[in-house]
Amino acid sequence: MNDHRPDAEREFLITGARTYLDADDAMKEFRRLIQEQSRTVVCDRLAEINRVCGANWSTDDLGLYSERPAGYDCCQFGQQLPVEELGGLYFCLKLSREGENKLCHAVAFLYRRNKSLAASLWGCFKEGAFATASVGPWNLFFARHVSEENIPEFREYLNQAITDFIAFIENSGGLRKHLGQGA
Amino acid sequence: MLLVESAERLDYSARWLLKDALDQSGKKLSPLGEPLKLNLGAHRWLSADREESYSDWLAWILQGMSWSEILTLFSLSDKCAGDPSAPAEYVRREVWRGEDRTDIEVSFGSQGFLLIEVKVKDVGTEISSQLRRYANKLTGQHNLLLVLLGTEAPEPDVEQCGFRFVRWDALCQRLRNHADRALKEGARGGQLETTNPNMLRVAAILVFCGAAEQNLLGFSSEPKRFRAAATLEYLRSWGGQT
Repeated sequence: MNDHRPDAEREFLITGARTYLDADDAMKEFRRLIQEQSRTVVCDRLAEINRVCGANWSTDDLGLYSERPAGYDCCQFGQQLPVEELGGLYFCLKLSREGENKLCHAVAFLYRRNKSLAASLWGCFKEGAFATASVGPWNLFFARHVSEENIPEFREYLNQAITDFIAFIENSGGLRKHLGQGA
Repeated sequence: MLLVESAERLDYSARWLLKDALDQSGKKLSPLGEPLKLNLGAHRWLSADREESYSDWLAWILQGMSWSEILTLFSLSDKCAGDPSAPAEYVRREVWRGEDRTDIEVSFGSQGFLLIEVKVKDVGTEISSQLRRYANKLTGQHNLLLVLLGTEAPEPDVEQCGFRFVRWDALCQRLRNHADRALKEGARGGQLETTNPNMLRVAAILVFCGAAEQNLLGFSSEPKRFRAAATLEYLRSWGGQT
């Protein structure tokens, strides 16, 4: 049987077979390293996060987070904390693409599983009040841009994002006050 | 390819540092040594899908511990009521509760009751209904403490129904601390001979740690490709604890 595949496709298949496992393992290792660094930062700030959230999380409550949201040209990985009655609190590296540009952000964000939950907290958000913050129907983001060459200092950028998150929650009267609202 | 080459360089340097970390940790656990150096991956009883083996062994370890030692293992020290040095009244495996069988139950009589649900693989959202049934069936127990032991925390959408999640790596590091303390106390009392029954018990605890670390967490003294840095960090984070 004649094979009419273009050369580029043949070469790609051969390279893929030869390196797929290595590439997959290398990506897992990169993810693990970022998740570990995120964990270190969050552990250092956990007492403050607990204070503004009215929570009692321990380091055992931290879980790995990894997501490649469908429909978005980005992936995120780091650590997560469950927020009962709301959803979750996430601390991660976000890698994304805008046209030809690749972007990296250190992000702390709060997720609600239902748009009616903690509506008053979402209402506290004012565009421009925090230069590094943005709001969506399900998420409150606090993101710090990290250039590729500064990724080794990712922890410092995540620390700053957490500082922004803490300041916002504190200025809003604490997280606890806004829970228990909505269905 | 750039990512793979970079990961290879990281792996290579981590393997060098790992040798030193293994030696350091071996010295700390002297005269027994570092459990990751004992190859426990080949033992069929301890393969990653034998949840019962890990539960049985953990239950046996808990039988020899005091109330406060057990609570420390599960990060529940703040829940200790009554006599912290009291041993468990009983530690039971696979107790039938209606149609369910619980993994490990630890009773401290009037002081408290601990239920440990053991998972050796990632849990999905379906675990919520199981945890809810257990919590409901044990309502009324005085000072009821619920623990979910697993490799990774459940997703935030999982309702944990009062269960505190404890990671296997955290448990193993605390068991290593327990062994380290026992060895130091033995050294002070001049009782580090291997004929000392307590030494055998400490050895069994460390072998359990080695089994869980190798088979459930993927750490090893001879790590698979790109796993050296993870093993190194694990040993360092344990070595840094007091």
